[in-house]
Amino acid sequence: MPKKQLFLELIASLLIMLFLYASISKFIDFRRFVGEMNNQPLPNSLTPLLVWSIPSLEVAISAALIFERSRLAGFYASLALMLLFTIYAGSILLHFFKYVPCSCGGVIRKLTWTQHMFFNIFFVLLSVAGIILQTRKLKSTVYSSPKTIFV
Amino acid sequence: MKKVKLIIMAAAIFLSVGGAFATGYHFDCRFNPQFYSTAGGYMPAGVFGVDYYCQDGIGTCTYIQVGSNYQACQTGLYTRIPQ
Repeated sequence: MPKKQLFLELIASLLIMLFLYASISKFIDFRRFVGEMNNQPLPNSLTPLLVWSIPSLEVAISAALIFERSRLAGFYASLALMLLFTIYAGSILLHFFKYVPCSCGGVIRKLTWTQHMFFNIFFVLLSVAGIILQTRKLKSTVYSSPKTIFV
Repeated sequence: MKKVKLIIMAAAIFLSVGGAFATGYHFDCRFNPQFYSTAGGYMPAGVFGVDYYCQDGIGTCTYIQVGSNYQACQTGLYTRIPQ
């Protein structure tokens, strides 16, 4: 297996681990997750939507990253979600909301908001690397295939 | 190549699902009735996220009753949500 391909597989597997772990943890302890969502400085009317959409989206992204055909879309979705989480953590750190909630709602409950921020940035960078490598891989596949030249 | 990919993906799925289940179940004091500390003693805190929230900060936000004693549960600052 070429090094670049192996690196791409490792990036995808790290993101799959993150999203699958996060989503399953939320579904296992759903009551706690709902409480943590209510503790966030967002309107509580959004809680029913968020508690179902976030873990479902995480499962969908993991599934997209597993299969080759949907992997690029998975990397883009992963980047979008991780950017949203990073912006949210950044807004809390910059005191954009009325209060700073406990950081217990995150993927690893014991991390502080600053640690969450760096954790998220790491996965944002991984998603960007995944997009670049997967795009290059797809381009090289298209150009190396003689059939596509005449299509 | 496909074999290596399969091994990496299977390991990722196994670790994440196993990890989530291994860390998912544990005693959570927040499912017990919550109290907050006042000068006059401990008062029922209400419903988390509806009546109160725990603002980030040093200290104990809520307590649970264990026998005749109170034990720290959530960290932070106990803050009432205006109704």
